[in-house]
Amino acid sequence: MSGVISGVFLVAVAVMIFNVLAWQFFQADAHNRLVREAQQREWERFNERLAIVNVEVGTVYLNFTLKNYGAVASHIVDLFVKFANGTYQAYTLNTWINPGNTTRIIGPSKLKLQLTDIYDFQIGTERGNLFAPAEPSIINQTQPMGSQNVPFTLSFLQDAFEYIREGPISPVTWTSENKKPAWRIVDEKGKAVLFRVNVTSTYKSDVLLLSGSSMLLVTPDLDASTMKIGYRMYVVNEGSVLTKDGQKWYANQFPSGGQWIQAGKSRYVYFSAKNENGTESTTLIDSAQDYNYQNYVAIFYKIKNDLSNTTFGATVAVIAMQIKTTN
Amino acid sequence: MTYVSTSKKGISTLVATILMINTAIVMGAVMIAWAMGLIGTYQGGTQIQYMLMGERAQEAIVIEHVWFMTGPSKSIIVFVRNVGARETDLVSLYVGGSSYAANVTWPYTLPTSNKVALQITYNWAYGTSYLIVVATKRGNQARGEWTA
Repeated sequence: MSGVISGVFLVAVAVMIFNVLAWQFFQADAHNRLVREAQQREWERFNERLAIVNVEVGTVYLNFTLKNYGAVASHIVDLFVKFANGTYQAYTLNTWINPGNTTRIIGPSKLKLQLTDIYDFQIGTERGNLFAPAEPSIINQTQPMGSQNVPFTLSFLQDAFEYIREGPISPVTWTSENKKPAWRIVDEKGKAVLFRVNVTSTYKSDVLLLSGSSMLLVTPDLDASTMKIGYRMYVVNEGSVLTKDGQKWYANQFPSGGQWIQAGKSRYVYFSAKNENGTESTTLIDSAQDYNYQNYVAIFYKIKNDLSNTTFGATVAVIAMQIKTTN
Repeated sequence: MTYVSTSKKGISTLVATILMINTAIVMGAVMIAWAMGLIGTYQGGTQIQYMLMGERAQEAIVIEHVWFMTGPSKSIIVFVRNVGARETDLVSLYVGGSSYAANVTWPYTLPTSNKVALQITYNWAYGTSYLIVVATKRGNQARGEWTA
């Protein structure tokens, strides 16, 4: 009898121990399955690779080609756009792309681009990855091809070369009503003018513009046999406007310490003064004639932390211009 | 001649044995009940621990993008996406080691595959890097260094 009872005890204890161990095993197995699923999601996230290989410019809607060279299919769900003026916009996309495939994506209709827009953008996937085009920023205008290593570049966009002229109200500022593209000028004789050129520094260090920088307009039309200088305008202060004082118009004097252009950044350089470090504005000459000019934008500058403290000189651009005075 | 047995030893031994067996069975039952209680408590605690670990493993968030906004008052917008397998409760946002109140009420429940834009007023400086951390109720984090 006691043997039976002790046997029952033994079996009961064994069943209890087995039950606990089995329960522990199933719990651990269930947990391991969750961890494996999480690791699978992480693996998929790290192996999601997309390339934005081509961004069309000069279009109303954002238009780019996307290539999936990763190991997993991707669901594109986000579009983040940052404009050069500091404006951010976020939109929702809904596009799937399989591994090895290429697809064309047209941006949302709510995002209408202007020809003057400069922007960069990123796309976000459902796995939380973010991808951007190779270019740091996209200019929404058809661009000339080719490249040349130069210290400063001019983009030849609509607002890259502009001017304002004296008006009935002083001061004349750079409002959209006042400013005009400066490649071809039709304006009245004797009007004071102020030009600005948008230059981009390709230096990896900041550069300091010096007061000797000038814009030289040369024409063969004043004398058929020789080239003659029509205008020479010296650099004035950044953001300068035209202000009337008495009968004359003046621009803001170029700062004695120069004007800094950050590495790789674009800045406007303003020209108007008749003399170096002067403020009196240049006025349009001649009357009722079309003159063709070669405009040499010359810049003198120093490079930040240059041990030799060299003053460099560069012709930023040679711009073809026409000026027609109308009275 | 009459034979009278005077020995009662056999009966008392049997009764004593039965009593001992009954006592052992009762004590064993009490011990099993006590042991089952302990095991149950152990199982309950472990199950909760496994459940919490499992939920934490299923939860994942990422900081998708960060915008440094200018304007009348500078601010930062942090885009957070739930890339896990279950909804998550966001409970705090840290910038540079300090916690900030965002434009949502904490905890903010973020369903799976959804994103939220958390905006805080912050006087950031151009060119400076900021460590941004978003934390969940289950103790997970998404963090990254972003430059204004």
